[in-house]
Amino acid sequence: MIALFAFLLSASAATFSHTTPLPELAANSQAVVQGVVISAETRVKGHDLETHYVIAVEQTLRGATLETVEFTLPGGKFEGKTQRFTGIPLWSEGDEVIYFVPQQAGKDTAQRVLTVDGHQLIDSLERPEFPHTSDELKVVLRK
Amino acid sequence: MLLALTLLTAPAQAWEVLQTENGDPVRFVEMPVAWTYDDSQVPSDIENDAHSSAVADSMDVWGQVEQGGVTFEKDGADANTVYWEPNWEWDDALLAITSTWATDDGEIVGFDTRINGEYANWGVDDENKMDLQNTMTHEIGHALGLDHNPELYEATMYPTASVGDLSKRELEADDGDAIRYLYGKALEEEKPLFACNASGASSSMIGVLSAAATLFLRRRKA
Repeated sequence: MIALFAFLLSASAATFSHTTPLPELAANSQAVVQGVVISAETRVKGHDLETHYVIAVEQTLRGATLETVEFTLPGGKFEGKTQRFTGIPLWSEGDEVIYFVPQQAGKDTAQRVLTVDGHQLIDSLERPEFPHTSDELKVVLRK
Repeated sequence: MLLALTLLTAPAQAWEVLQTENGDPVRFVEMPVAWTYDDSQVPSDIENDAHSSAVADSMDVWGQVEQGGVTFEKDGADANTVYWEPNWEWDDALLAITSTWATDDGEIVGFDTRINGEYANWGVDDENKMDLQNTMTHEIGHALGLDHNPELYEATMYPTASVGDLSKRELEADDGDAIRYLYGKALEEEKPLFACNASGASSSMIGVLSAAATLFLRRRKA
């Protein structure tokens, strides 16, 4: 079990950013896995919502083999209202995701991803350009 | 040939909007959008009251979109708050972050924008600092339901900025198109061809292309 916070993407909802090459993101991850959301529980945190996800790993694309991964992301749905933070996905049970397991937890995990070429991310945790399928991702990761 | 020429000369559009699980756009239903600015935690290194004007001006630029349909009311009832967060729990690289609260059918019922109060290089009109108005204009775009525009660096909704960058204070045509899609009365009876994609990149040009060739269309979840 790994309870961490960043480096993740939805396989069906890839986002694009020019801030970081994918190989760099992969190199800074202890593993890259593809799996299915088996639990998504939203809770109130102060004035905000956060959702704790459990992912059942179906395929390890790179690095250590893991059975499940867990992490918590800001936002969620609670009592008929959805709180969205730009760039942060909201998943439901059954969604297929690809997850870049970070080397270590902490709020600095995305910094090296996001500050490149003198630019600073205005907001969100957007991920770099991403292959369309896990097979394509494998090709990138093997390079 | 004519088709190809048309495609090559078509203006680039890349705007994206926030969507619900069902693909409906996330947006305010009623105007004006009430907002307030809490400067109680403003960093001491920002000079005078320039920060207050910067925040207000960032609202105005969205309200000035021709046929955009967006209006703001400062300190109105149930105002949404822009505030400085002195204990930044997000990634250090983030300058600010906006969250929206919306119903299942996509009506925004509130937003808040928190500005990174730990970031040490804020400024206004200073080429050696990160411009607050530049950042806030981007954030208010999110508050109105716009997502990032990762294809067009000049766009206000492009996700990154650099020190001294003022370019996002003024909207690009693409930003204006997005706001008209969400709020513009002129488009009420003229929905984009592929409105379900809620993306400028997927309007008429892609409609033609998709019929002729395999084309990857990004799908963005809520």
